[in-house]
Amino acid sequence: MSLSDTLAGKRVIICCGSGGVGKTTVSASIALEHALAGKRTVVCTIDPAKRLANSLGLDRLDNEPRPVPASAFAEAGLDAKGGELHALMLDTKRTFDALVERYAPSAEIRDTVLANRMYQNISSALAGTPEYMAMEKLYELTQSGDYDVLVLDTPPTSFALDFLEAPTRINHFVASDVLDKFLRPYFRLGHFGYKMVQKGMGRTFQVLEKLTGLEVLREIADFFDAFDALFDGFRERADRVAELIRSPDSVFMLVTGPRPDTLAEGVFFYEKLVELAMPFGGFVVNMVHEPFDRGKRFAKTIDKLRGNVKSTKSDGAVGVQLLRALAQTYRDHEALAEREALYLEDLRGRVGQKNLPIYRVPFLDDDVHDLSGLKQVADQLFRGD
Amino acid sequence: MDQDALSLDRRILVVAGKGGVGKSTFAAALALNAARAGLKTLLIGSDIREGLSHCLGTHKLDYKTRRIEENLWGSNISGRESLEEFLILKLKVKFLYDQLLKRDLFHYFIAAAPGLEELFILGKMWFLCQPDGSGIKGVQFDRIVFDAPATGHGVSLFKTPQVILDTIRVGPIHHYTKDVLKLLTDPTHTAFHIVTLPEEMPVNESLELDHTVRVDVGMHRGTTFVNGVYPEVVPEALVNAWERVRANPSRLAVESGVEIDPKVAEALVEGAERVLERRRLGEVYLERLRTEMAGPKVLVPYLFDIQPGRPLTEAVAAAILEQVGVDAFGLPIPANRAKLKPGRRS
Repeated sequence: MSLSDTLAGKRVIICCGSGGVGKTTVSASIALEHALAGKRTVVCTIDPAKRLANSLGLDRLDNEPRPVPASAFAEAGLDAKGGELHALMLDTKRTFDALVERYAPSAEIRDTVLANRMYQNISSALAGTPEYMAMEKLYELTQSGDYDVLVLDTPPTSFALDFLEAPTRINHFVASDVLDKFLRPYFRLGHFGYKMVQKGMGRTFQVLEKLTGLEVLREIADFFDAFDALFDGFRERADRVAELIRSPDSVFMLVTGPRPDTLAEGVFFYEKLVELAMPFGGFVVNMVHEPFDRGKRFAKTIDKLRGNVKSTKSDGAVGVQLLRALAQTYRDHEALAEREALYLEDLRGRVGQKNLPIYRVPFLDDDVHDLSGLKQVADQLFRGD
Repeated sequence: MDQDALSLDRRILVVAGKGGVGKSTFAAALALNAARAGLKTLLIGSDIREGLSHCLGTHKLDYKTRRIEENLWGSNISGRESLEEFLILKLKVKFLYDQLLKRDLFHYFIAAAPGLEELFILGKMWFLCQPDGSGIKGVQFDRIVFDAPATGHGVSLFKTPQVILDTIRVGPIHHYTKDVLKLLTDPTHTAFHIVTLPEEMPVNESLELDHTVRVDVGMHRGTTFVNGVYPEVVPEALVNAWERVRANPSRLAVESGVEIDPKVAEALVEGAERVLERRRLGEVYLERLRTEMAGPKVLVPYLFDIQPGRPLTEAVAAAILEQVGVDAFGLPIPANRAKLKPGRRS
């Protein structure tokens, strides 16, 4: 199945995978292809190379979508045919703040939450928060109605799939149980009183207090207290996000590289997607060293040639050295290409899915740093259409 | 090379970098070199999908420190396990600790006080440096090579101690954090090494990481390892001949005196052009590293035809050793230097 067929009718395209495989480039290329097909498209990136932002004709990317100017299309000789390409870079903390602002029942509660140090830690530093906020941003963008197609580039961490569970995770934090049963009474009664009410729990607090000081406990209690008011809004929203990414409008693409370590991570992600029953579209293997593609006989000729060179007596001659260097380079490259082809075969075997869609993007001779570079990648991705 | 600048002789060698640059392979390669220099070495990672054992071709690693081969031990730790170890020591009484761990509340607390798990990952290294801290009778580690999490997460990991000190201002955890930070920022004890690739994103991130680690965290920076440097296809002496052949591939037969099918010659030239182009691109980023990143750089060539896993690690280890020399890994820790002065205890 071609990538066009896989993505036909999809509104939300989520690119996930490990870092260092060019996930952002692939995401931007998929978005560009849709824009060129006349769609209003937005790509939400996590941490794009500055050159990519520049190449989109944008000085910088921030938390709001910016349209790629028509001049950038013209420069690359591309015609958007009425389509649009917008790009933004996710700002985790701002997105979280916006969410708090939306659901805080009063200005007072909003300010209490935003000023709380626990909140500040959770909204900026906690593992899993960027993933959760990426989902939140995605939902916000779908709700705006401004876009036909949304492409999401997910954070390249080992938590990369946590975002799928992140909505539930945040619920853990605000589980009002903890608040009502433990923290509030603790501060209401003081720990002596508390000890009377709930012996075992009192001891837990004693130990925690001894380890960290009372101040920290109080701040956590304040956080839970203020957040309590936002809880229902958050949960409802989390449910809708979960519904969106599981719907037939959405598809997950797994971006990986042709190396055993990145492919192993790809398989890990794949299994996780299957386990969570997410709609899976296929693997994109980026930066594949394609063989020079002149056939096996040709490789043999080169090998024979290398053999001849080895036995040549005029060893020191510049021309012989050059021939040897060129033949070596050629064979090095071919060996790498052969090895990568084996890894991809291995991927099929490990996933155990017949007709597993694998879309390869060859290692291009130049860095992708402008719209025409992105178009080159898109042409490879969507080839055979 | 300047051995002190390389800083491969420090007791704790942190190896960090962007995901996908070969960080774990380099950490394993450094550990192998240190072990072979006669130093008792522990290779330590903290990844849920542990990959160091693949780099060494050995059994899976977990929290318990295990011997891998001569002078080399390995483990893969989590902050949670390290925290538990700390609590058992601190609370002394196992019963109290069991009480604590049983409580949901305790787990919520850990989750809501961000940084605690990260702190205890770093804390494990402090612990390992204590007398008898290795957990293996009669063994004191001369080198601890830490395969740090990929940047992004890695940066926040090393910023954690300061964040904790700001949040938790009294009690045992406060003092523990002070000790951890003191060890990490002691330039005679700990060096921070970075692995990167000659490509745009890895170089950008490395420069940022370098800045954060030096300025914000205050750690001592050691070597920058550049992985995957494309080889020089055409050495200096062959440039003239190459230019002639490049302009007219069929000349290759004349230049070399070997009979070559013109089509073959053409393919050889085309292949070389491709690799040259990649090298030229990489050169731009190498130049950026040379001008913008202080400290020594060790360049490791793109290894085309080497099986990943142990063979790749061996090749990288050999490439590093060839450039820095075995003396760069320093001497064993004398017994009296092993004792860190403990901070105030409550």
